[in-house]
Amino acid sequence: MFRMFSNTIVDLINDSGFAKMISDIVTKWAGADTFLEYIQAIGTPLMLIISFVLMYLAIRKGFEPLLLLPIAFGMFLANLPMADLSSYSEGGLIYYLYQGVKLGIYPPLIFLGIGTMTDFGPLIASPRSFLMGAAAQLGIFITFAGAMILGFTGPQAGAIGIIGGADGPTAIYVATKLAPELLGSIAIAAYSYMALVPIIQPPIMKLLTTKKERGVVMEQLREVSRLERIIFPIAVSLVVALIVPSAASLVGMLMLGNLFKESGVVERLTKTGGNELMNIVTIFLGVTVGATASAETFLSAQTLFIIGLGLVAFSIGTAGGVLFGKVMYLVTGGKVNPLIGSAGVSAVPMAARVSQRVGREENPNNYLLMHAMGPNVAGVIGSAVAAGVLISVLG
Amino acid sequence: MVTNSLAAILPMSLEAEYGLGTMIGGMILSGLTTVFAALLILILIVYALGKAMPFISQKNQKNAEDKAEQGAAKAAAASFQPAVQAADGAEDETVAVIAAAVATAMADSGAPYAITSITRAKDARPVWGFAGMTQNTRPF
Repeated sequence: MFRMFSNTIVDLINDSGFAKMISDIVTKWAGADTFLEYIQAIGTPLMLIISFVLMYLAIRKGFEPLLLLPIAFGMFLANLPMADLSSYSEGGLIYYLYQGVKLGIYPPLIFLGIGTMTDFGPLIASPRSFLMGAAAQLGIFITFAGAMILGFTGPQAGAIGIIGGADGPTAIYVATKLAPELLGSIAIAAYSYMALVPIIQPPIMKLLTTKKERGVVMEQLREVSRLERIIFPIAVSLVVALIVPSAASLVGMLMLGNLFKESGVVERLTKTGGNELMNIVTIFLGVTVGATASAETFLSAQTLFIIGLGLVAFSIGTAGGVLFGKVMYLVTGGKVNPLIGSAGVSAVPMAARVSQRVGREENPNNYLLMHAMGPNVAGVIGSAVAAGVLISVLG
Repeated sequence: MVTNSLAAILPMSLEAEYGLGTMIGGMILSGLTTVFAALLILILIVYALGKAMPFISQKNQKNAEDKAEQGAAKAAAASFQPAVQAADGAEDETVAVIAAAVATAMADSGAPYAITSITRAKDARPVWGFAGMTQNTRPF
C-alpha cells in the first residue's frame, strides 16, 4: 500500500508543471551555446518574473493599470508550464477569447467606448489643432524607417512604428494585421511608454522651445454648438473612410461612440459603451494580448529592438508635434503655445496634462489644458489614419 | 482610395527594384502626405461648419421667436375661454394644484402654455404593475 502511495506521489510530481519547468531548464541549458540560448533556457521562470514586475508596475506604480494588469496576468497564465493557457493553445479559454484580437474586433470596440468619453469640442473650436495631431505622427514613419534599417520586414516595421502613435488599441490593431508574431512585445511597449509620457515628453518639450514660447497664454476657445458636435463625428467618419478605408473600423467606432454621447438621445447606449462594454472588452483584450507573450516569442533580440524603437517613435512624435507648434507660433504671430503640439501623440488625456504642467512651470497662471486637448484628440484620429495607411500599403 | 493607389505605387517588391532607401523615403513621404491630406480636409469642413453656425443659429432663433409669438397668441386666445374644463367633477383646489405643478415644470423652458382641460387618466396599468414592468425591462 505504501509503495502504491509513493508511486502515485512520484508520478504526480513527474507530471507536474514544476517538474516540466525544471527538466526544460536542464535540457535547454545543457544544449545552450549563445547568450540568447542561455536566456531562452531559463525562459519560463524569467517570463514569470517579468509578469510579476509588470503586475508590480501596474498595481504599485499605477502604470496604465487598466490594461497593464490584465496583460501582465495574461503573460503569467501563458507561461505556466503545461497549463496550455497561451493565446495560441488551440481549444482553450484564452484561445477563443483571443479570436477577438486576431479578427480585429476588440480594438474598434474599445474605440467605441473612448468615443463616448471624448470631448471633441476643443478641436472643433480650434480646427488648426488637427495639424499638430498630424505632425505628431512623424514618429510612426521615422520609426518605420529605423525598423527597416535594423532588418525587420516591411509589415513588422509598420507595426513597430505605430507605437509612436501612442494609442494602445491602434497599436494592437495594426500589430494583429501586420505582424501578429510581435503583438505581445508591441502591446507591452506601447502601454509602458504611454504610462511614461510624463517622464519622456517634458525634456523634449523644453529642449525644443524657448522660455518665451512656453510662456504664451492662448486666447479662450469659442463655444461650440450642439449641432457642430453632432455633425463632427459623421463628417470625420465619412472623410476618413473615403480616404483611408482600412482606418474606417477604428475611426467609425470612435465616432459612433461620440455620436451616442453628443446626440444626447441614447444615454443608455452611451453609458454601456463607455462602461460595461469597454470594461469587458478591456479584460478580454488585455488578458489575451498578454497571453501571446510566450518565452519563445518574447525573449528575443527583437523585443529589445522593439522597446528601443518604441522610445524613439514616442520621442520623435513628441518632437514633431512641438516643432509644428513652433511653426504655428511663428505663423500666428505668437498666438499659439508650441507646448500644445506635444499632445498630438494621442495618449489622451495624459499628453494634454503634460502640456498643461510644463506650461504652468513657466507661467503659473497659464491654463493650456483645453487648448492641448485639441491636438490630443486630433492625434487619436491622426494615428488611426496613419494605421490605415500602414495596413493598406504594407498589409 | 488614395491608399489603394499608394499601394499600387509602393508595393513591397519595389524594395528589390529601387532599393531600401527609396522604399523607406516613399513610405514616409506618402504616409505623412495622406495623414496631412485627410486632416486638412477635416480642418476645412470643421472651419466651414464653424463659419456657417452663426447663420444657422440665427435662422433657428428666428424660427423659435416666431413659434413663441404664435404660442403667446394662442395662450392669449385661451385666456378668454371661461375656465379649465375639469372632468370628473374635480374641485377648484385640485385644478389649482395641477396648474401650479405644470407651472413649475414649465418654468425652465420659458415657453408660453395654456391648460385647457384636465382629465383623469385611465387606470389601465396599476401602479405596482407599472413598477414591476419598469424593473423587468430596465436592462433593455
